[in-house]
Amino acid sequence: MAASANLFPFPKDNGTGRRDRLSKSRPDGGGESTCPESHLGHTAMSNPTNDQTIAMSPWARTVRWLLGWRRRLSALDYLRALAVLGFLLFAFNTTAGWCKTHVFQPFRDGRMKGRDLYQVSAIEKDLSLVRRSLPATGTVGYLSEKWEGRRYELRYLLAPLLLDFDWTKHELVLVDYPMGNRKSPQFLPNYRLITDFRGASSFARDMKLFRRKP
Amino acid sequence: MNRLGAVFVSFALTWLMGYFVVALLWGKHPRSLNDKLFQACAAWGIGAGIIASLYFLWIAVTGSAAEGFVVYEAFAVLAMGLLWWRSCPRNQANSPRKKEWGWVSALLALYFCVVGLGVVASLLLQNQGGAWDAWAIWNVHAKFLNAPGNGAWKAVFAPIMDLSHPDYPPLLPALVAQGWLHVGKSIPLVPVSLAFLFAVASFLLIASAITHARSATMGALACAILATSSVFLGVAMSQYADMPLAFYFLLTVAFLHRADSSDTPAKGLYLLAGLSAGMAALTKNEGSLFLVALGAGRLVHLLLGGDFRRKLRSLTWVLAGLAPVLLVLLLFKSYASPSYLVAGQGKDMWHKLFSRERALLIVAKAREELETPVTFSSSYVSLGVVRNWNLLATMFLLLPMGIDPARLRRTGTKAALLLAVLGLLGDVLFMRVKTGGYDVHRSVLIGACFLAVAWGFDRRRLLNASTLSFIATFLLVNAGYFVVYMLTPLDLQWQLTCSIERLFLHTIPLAIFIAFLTLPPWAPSTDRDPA
Repeated sequence: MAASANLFPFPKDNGTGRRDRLSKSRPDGGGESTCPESHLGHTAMSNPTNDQTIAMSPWARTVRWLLGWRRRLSALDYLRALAVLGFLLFAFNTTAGWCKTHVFQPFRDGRMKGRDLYQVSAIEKDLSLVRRSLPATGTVGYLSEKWEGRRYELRYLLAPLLLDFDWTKHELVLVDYPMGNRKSPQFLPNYRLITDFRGASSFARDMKLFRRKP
Repeated sequence: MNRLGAVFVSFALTWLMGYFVVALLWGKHPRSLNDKLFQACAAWGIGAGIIASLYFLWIAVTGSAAEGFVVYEAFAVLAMGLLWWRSCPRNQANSPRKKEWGWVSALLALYFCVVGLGVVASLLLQNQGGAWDAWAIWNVHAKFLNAPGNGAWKAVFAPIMDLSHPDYPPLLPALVAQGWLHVGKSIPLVPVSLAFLFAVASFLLIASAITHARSATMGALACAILATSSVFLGVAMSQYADMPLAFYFLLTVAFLHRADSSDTPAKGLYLLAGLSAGMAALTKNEGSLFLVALGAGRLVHLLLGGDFRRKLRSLTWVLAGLAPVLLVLLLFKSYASPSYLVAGQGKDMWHKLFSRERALLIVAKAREELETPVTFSSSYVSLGVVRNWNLLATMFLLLPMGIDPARLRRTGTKAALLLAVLGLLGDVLFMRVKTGGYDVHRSVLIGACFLAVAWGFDRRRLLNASTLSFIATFLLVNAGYFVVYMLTPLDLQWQLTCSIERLFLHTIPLAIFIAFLTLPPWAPSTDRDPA
């Protein structure tokens, strides 16, 4: 008999409740089957196709139909169904919340910009402007007071050209802060301005390119 | 529009390459829709690995990225297609068709896949550059691999690029680079699409693998677990290589499970498992650790349950699949300087390895991260009220599903189950109460869950040689991560904060797969017994 029936308040298989009625109403007159699953406590049917003719509660019928089970339900089965139902409720609630926060609201606010994925952005336009004056590969000096993250970001943008933060070693130096700053190499006698990237609209607005004098 | 088309062609070639290889090695015609789904997911992963390897070999030999690669790639796909056409078994009229997905389970799986992927897509569209490592490591490597000029790509190994970890394996950067080569420009669509496609493949793979191993209902539930994991969604959006790595971990184990439980010799599946494991190593350095753990796991499989010679033969097929990818990895590593983990070790290595403070810090951080993922995903996925509910809800789901009715007679099982359920309830009720100290009820809860699994679950499933080898792999990978943290030359607190969540992600799909393998039958008409 189903061991789980002892733990949970459901009628036992050999009691006078619903399960008894189930056994008696079997068209083949038999009780439980000797199928391999029986030893696990499942009260499996010997002929699952006859299930439909058995009288059972609407709940049991619904659970069996939803889960595709073809056997009678034990107390543990109900507990499992409850666990699945509880988990699904949690999952529906969580995913619905995330859909609202991360899909519907950004869509309404216009934060999702699919076109940016494949169109030439302002950054790309600036990049091509800067690249025209720089070699495609190799290393140039880079002088900036920007936050470290910004400097690494520029290194990413200009790759495969390498930007060396130790700029004094290099003939070409990209300067990335306003001209008024005293540290700018324009005040150093051995550097001269090559270009100041007029027409830049994004990250290259404050940039200037210097070359060491021969 | 041309750019969209070029990206599509690039990914279509990648998938086709994978499909031909998987179909060739699979050996027989897929009998069900679920098998086709599994093949399609595996094809994406295997194709991505092969195309990335071919791309890296191309630039290593020719010195630079050039349009010639597109022709070479197309020819390689065509050649593989012809091979598949000639050798693929087509006379399958008599093979019985299997129907594994009912419409309720299919609808559930579809809902959770669509919602989970919708959130990932939306997050990707809002953060097109990805998170820090995406542009500072993976995409910057791709730019070097895509560099014009003979040997220009080797500039990635220059000392000033140290912070971008040039020793990190090239699978993801090479894939991005070949996409950019097709387009002719470095547009964000390529890395964004790759991140999305690996998330799609992970969802469908876990659904199809668990449906094959157990049932469609369980496959749908696995999708629900992934869709409610803020860690999974957050890392999927980040464009990091952690998502492909987690995918390859799962793919390897799923192939091995199929091969182990196959009635007929499955050398093709073992070869594919080896290929997939190699691709994990080609994705991240953690993949090499996975190879070691997998080797130990296979040793467990070899030594348990008899049939030594057949298992030894299967191991040689896995190694045969692994070998070509390992050669590509070795070629890449021959250019790179050693990892910071190796190069940064000093005389205090042994002291660090046995340091109690470091161990306690790692355990505390891991516990904190499991309870409330705050370090990474919370920056992108608003956790709201869910917090650590994903883990709790999963435990609530798995414990009753895992209890074997025959073992429930025992008083110990009943007590452990009751204690676990009470502990879980208590955890939910006191979730928002900050005690400030160590929560004893958490230890009781974890202990009770372990006891419930040990006493209440079906031993036949837990102690099955194949399942045990997967459990050993899972445990060894995590033990390896623990050792790496103990030895790291960087600031431990900082490194834990930056990476622990992603390390958990690597084995989350694997853990879900193993957990479902150990559950007793759900519906006897559709479930399978362990091999």
